[in-house]
Amino acid sequence: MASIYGQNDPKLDKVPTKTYMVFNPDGTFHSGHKPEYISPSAFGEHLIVIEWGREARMDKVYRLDLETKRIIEEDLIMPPEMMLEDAFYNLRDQRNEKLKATDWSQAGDVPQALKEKYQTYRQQLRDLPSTVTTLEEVENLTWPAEPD
Amino acid sequence: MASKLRQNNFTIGDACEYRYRWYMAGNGTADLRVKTAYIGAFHVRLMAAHWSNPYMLYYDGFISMSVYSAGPIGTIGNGNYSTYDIRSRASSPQGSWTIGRVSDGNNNYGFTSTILRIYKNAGNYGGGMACWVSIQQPWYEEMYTLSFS
Repeated sequence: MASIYGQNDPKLDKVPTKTYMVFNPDGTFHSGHKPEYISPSAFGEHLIVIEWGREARMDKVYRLDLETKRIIEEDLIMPPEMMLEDAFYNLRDQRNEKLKATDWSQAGDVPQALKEKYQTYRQQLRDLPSTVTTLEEVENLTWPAEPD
Repeated sequence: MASKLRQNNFTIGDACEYRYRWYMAGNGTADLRVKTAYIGAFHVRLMAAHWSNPYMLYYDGFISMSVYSAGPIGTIGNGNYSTYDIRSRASSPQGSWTIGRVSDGNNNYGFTSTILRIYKNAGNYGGGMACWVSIQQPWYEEMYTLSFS
């Protein structure tokens, strides 16, 4: 059976939520669970299970100090390359929405002059992601103006 | 330590659904073994996300299996077993889901198992994510039990 280590923090006494914090043998985080629904015996014997006075958070990272059996909680900092990846994803997502919203402009019954204005606009939207390379550029992006 | 666990499988009409949620990091792995009932069909849904779409991974699929009276009670398919993926999406930050079964041995019909295996492989993101599983089956006869390794 997995080991259970108590961990009391007076500052957290008023927090009703408890969690089984589960760690790998090297102290890296495995998972967090609500004790109401799962028994400690559900975890492999190689895992270390600690009853903790609060719930795991998505904006934190956890590891276990193997000597003191205390949980180290640190702020989650997103790596710059992932921030850039996120920004590009959101940029493409917004761009696609703008393209969808102007699909009507390319229908057969739209006057040619208006259709051509929108063709230019839609091409600018398609080209937009290739005009920026850094996070700062993505954040300060100027969207092309939609035709009147 | 909890003295009595709350139920997380329950009937909806005349079918049963098991649900469990937990928390883990995107770069972690989870190997869940779910002991199941003697049935012919599952609907399995697995989901996790940290943020918006790039951090989303899910699996939605059916499991169908052979059931013979001559076979042992409690097996996931007395030999024959197949999955039908409705939707499945991996995420480079958060990993991916796979489902299968764990061999208990063989009977006259071939491979047998009482354990459904749900596996989440590692993504490249150390931040946390909420995960949940939902397993639907026709009968309530046997309780699900869950283990992590």
